[in-house]
Amino acid sequence: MIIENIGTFSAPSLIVIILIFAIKSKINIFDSFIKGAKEGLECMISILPAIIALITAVTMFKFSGALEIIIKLLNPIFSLLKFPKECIPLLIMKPISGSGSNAILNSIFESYGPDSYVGKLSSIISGSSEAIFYIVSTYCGAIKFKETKNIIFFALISFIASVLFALFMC
Amino acid sequence: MIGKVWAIMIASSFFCAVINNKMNELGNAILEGTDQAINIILMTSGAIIFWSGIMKIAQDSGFTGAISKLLFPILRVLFPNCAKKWNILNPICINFVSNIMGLSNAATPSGIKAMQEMKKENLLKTNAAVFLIMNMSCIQIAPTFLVALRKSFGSNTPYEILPKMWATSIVFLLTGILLIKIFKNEKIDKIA
Repeated sequence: MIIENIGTFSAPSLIVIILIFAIKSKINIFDSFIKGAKEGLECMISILPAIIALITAVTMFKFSGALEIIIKLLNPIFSLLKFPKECIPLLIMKPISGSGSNAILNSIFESYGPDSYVGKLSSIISGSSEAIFYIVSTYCGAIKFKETKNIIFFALISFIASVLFALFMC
Repeated sequence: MIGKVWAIMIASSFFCAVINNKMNELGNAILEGTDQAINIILMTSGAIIFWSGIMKIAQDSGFTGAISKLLFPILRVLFPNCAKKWNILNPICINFVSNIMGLSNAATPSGIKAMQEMKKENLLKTNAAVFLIMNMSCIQIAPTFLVALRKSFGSNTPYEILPKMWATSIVFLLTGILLIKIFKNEKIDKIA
């Protein structure tokens, strides 16, 4: 019960803390808000093409029966850990792309609902890490740093550990 | 990489549809997928735009700056050979706090800046891994998109998963840092 309340309290209390801080600092609060909200709008517009591309691909993958085949192929390995087979596609997509895993999360919510066991586990997996390959390619690509092999290796092990932890907790 | 995955997904859907005789469904999927994407953007953008506004207030009022100061002792442990090198530590701080606050617009430029400074001082080898693991662990106080998506599918308690999610992020971060500290660079090349 307490743990559930921390989650519910977090967002409103964060807003209030920030606003109290802002009133003290005497900035123009509303101007800042409008400026930031505009940036948020631009951000939404900029991710729209990727979301359309990926959600359409995931839907096609699902409707054509390809998703089922992948799940069936991988299920024997994952069922040993009692890992729900519905989350397998998310597990594959998560390290590769954030938008891609959001597309899969969307399809999981659509089929099983966000408050089901599968929905909750998927929410946790999807919210608790960033796309590993994307981060490495953005940051290391920007400065032409090539020794990324061990970083990816460590990151994937950490990802597996975090998923096992989530599974254990749910 | 995502480009290839995307193309392979669509191509393999086509072949599966041929085998399963589901070409009609595949055609519908194109329409339904695009439709859903627009719906998701519409359903979640209100929350995201609102939070971007709030987070801008946090930035402008110096709230993020104040939080960064609290982080310095932790950074001293994580990046021991960067002590007092503010040109590296400052962007790392901004990057980490921006990530926690969900300001990905601010996180990426400062993250790249931190990587550049590390490169200049020849400290990439030991520190890049820790820094990137910090970025990947994605500890977020208010993961707006996730919460808004849960809400849009009718969740009664969209925020409920947050504490478990934070704990999972921390497990990711600690496992990564532990691995890096245990295997110093020379040994890793043999394993990976």
